[in-house]
Amino acid sequence: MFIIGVILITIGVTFSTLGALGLVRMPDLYNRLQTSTKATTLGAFSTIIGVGFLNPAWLIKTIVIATFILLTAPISSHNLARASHKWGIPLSDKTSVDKYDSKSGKKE
Amino acid sequence: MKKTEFITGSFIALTLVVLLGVFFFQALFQPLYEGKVMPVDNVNLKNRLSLHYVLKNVHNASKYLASHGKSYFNNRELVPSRKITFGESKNFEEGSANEVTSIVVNYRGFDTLGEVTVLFISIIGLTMLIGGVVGKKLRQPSLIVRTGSRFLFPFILLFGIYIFIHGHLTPGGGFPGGAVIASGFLLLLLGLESYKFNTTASKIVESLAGLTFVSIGLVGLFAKNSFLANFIPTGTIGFLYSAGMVALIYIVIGIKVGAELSTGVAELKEGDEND
Repeated sequence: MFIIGVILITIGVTFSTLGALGLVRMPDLYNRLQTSTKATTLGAFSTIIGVGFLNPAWLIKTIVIATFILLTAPISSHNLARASHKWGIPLSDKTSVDKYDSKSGKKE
Repeated sequence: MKKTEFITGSFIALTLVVLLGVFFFQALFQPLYEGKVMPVDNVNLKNRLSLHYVLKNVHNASKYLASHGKSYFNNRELVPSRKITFGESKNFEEGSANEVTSIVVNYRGFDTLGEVTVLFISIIGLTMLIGGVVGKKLRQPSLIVRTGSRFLFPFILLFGIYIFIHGHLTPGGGFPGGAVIASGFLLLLLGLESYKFNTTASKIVESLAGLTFVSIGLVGLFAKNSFLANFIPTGTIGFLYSAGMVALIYIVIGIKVGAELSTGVAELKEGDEND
């Protein structure tokens, strides 16, 4: 139990660090959103589950919390990205493909 | 509404207000601890949970006091003699583990009734002023949001119910729980285009909850000679079935606030359809 918990927390902390790094490093809103969502989803998810493994009395509660995070964070960041794309926030210069633009252009 | 109905309604309301006013003024001029109104129980000041919290040390308060002498309390009667343990202690502050709840519902329960009324009146004012004005149609949300909101709604509802049922054990209570429930309904209203909020059902639920609150208070008035007095035995600190009336009243407040806020949100979106 203890070893599984420590491994999970290590994975979570690593992903959170990478997400924070990406938030500084990435050029535009969409890439930053992508890195930060990965950090919250996988980072927070495995940290919380790991805490549950360290203290087995909390395990069910932590699984419920982690499931809630797993459900909400991707939906909210998807909606943020979609809304900012519709609002017209520009992509970075290095981006070469924008499939969503052509798709929505055909539809509307 | 017909004119005669309005006149009879306002007459009944006026009579009730005058009767309540007479009751309160009587209570004001009665001498304390002599008449019928004041003495609820013989409160032992040593058993007050707040004294332990003032010392910032629940478990070793008596040791701390012994080492620091009388400088905190001049009256030696106030020094707590027992320590508080979860699952063992009984009858401290009506048995509620969350001290805030014990103050909000027990010491100033009448004030909480007033707060709920203020919220009710403000929601009525909001819907009267802004409801039905919205002309711009919301943009159709994407498939992910539509599916996700339908999936997440029961979880949010469950979380709100958890917050107000555990109001006497953990931080939280009726108002935050109701706000969480209303946020779940807001998610449904924003995420699903086809969702219709049943305003009449929520109004009925809300009025029933308010009625239950007042009737619990009246039962306290008849059983213990004081409005909103605790008439249920207080259990052991830390258990779900403890704190007597506090848990009941918080459930009622949670349902009432949730119904109120979600009605307000729904009327803001759809406008008043009755007029």
